[in-house]
Amino acid sequence: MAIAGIGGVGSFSPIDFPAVKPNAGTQSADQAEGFGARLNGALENLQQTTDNSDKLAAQMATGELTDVHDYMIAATQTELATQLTVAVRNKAVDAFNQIMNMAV
Amino acid sequence: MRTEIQATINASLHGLTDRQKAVANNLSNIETPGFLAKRVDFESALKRAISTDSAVNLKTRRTVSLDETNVNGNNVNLDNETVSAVETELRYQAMISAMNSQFRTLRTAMG
Amino acid sequence: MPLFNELSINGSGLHAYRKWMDAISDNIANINTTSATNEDAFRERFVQVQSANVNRTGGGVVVNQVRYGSGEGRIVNQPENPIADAEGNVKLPNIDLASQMTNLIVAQRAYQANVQAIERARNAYQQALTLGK
Repeated sequence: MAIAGIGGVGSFSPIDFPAVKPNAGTQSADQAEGFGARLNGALENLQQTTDNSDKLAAQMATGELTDVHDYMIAATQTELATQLTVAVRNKAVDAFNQIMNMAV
Repeated sequence: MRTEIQATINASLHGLTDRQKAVANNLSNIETPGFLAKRVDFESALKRAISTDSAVNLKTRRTVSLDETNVNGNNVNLDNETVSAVETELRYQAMISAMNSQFRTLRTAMG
Repeated sequence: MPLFNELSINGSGLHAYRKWMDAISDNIANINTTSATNEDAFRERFVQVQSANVNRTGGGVVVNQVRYGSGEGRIVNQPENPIADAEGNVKLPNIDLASQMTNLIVAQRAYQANVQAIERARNAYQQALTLGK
């Protein structure tokens, strides 16, 4: 009896985090300001995501919201975006410290 | 912004607790002659506070149901109250998870 | 209240079917109620409902009014009845017990279906509340 081999795991589609999407404005920015501008864009995006989930939370509090899942998804997006932004910030600070500790 | 939304969530939790108490009171008086069902409204005050950007007030408004009464002057409706209890419970859960999400986000931002 | 709307939609169903069951109970309770021949017999209760069209998916059902059947009844000879007329006749309502019982089963099943739907909706909402946990 032939037993079929175990197939490979299908490819996972990457999660599209809203906070790190590079926007057109930062692409054309000056090379030296590239990272700062990008970080700024990410923070603005995070603010938007947060405002959106806060707006839905207020609607839920007054009972106007039609679908709870809308809020739950928005809140999860905010949490993940915050985590991601904090992680990027920590990495950036680490990198800065490493450069500062470099022997010259 | 963050404290505002937390105050809003807090106010709705207060209102929902009040409503749950009113429902419990209505259900325990389902056979009391002459008892009129109590209704709790906090949404309209909350909506007004949000739209006028004024401070959130935790006071809720209690009114008496104007539904028709049965022979003993009581107008508590078992179905309405049960549905209201389920709905209030779900909304309470939703608001608790909203508050938890707020705190989690803040904690992440601090960490 | 749009939030958790499904609950109130089925809640309106519970209300309507309970009203119907109340009406049927009243009809059955009064099926042997006699009245004098110069009065109306007990009149059968009918609950009239209408669908509430608040948006595209509907807003449940509302009880429009309770209507009454004819008071004509049927004449039965019961000379021992204190309210019988000179010929010993009284009036009994013209209610068919079999059809009342069938309606009662329909109303009861519909009530149960609404309870089930509320249970399912509650489960679905509770699932939605665990999104992202």
